[in-house]
Amino acid sequence: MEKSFAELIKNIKTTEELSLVLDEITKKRLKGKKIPSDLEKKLRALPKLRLEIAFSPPESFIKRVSQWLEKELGQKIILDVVVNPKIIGGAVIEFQGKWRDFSLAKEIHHLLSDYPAE
Amino acid sequence: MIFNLNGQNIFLIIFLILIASAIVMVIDILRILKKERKKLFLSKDFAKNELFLRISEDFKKQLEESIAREIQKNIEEFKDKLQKTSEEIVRNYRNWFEGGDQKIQKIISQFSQQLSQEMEKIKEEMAQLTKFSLKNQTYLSEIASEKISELNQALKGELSKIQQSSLKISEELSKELSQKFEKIYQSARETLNKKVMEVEKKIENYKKERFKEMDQKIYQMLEKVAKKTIGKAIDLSTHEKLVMEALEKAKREIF
Repeated sequence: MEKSFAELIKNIKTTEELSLVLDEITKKRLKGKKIPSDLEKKLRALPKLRLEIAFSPPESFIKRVSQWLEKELGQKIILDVVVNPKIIGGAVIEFQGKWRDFSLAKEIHHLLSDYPAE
Repeated sequence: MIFNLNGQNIFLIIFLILIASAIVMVIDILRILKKERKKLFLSKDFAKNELFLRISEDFKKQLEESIAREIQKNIEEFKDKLQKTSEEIVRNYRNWFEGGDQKIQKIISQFSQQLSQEMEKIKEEMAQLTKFSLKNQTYLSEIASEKISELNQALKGELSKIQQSSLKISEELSKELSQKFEKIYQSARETLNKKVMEVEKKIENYKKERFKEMDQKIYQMLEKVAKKTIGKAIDLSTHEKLVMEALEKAKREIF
């Protein structure tokens, strides 16, 4: 049981997947199955990263990002992916209360708004 | 004044003499009447102190009539006397004047001779006077011409002085005016320059603002166009690459 949950947790990459897992846990608990009490807590406590991007990402890209984040931060990170074509390209990232805009829209805006000031 | 003895004057003299004698006569008559009254009426003192005599109306009437008759008689007598005396006076005067006329004529002729002599003398004096006055006139005219020439010279001098002073005054005035004008011109120029500079600054600011607005609009449009075109042009792999680059940047800044 713990192994399967560990795998499940390992496979969770996005907030949608996390909410699905949490729903499943609730359902199983309702059916009377034994689920470790702190599992839900641990799942809910996982750090989240909001990633706003301009395109609809394929599963492979989500997986790649998730692995990269786990590798770079040394822990499991849940991705909250938001698709917003207005940002054109790049990403707007929010993590642990910190927010950065690395979008192409911002770059273009900077380029064009700085130009007349020169 | 020579008294001309003609008939009219003689008559006038006689008439005056007659009037004088008539006045004397009237005064005499009045005196006589006063005496008569004193006899007829009682005096006031008598009326106060003595017995008052009553006179009847008939007696009074008779008395008055007798007085009137007496007065009439006297007047008649006076008239006769007056006529006689006047005739006598006229006669006497006529005789006197007939004898005296020759004397008067003589006196008049003497007087006229003297008068003509005097006139001659006066004429001579007048001639002398005119001569003297002519001399004086020439002398006076010479003096006057000298004085006039002196005055003219003095006037010329004064005029030249006045001209010089007026020239000086006009020069000073023109200097002062030009200085004032220069001051006014400078101040006006300064204010105008200031105004022009202000207006130019305003125009420049307005231009800048307008250009800024226009630039902003242009760049907004460019941004829109760029976003649309670039967004469409980016393929999936580029998108992924850009996201990974963003994550790398985030790693440096916020992770």
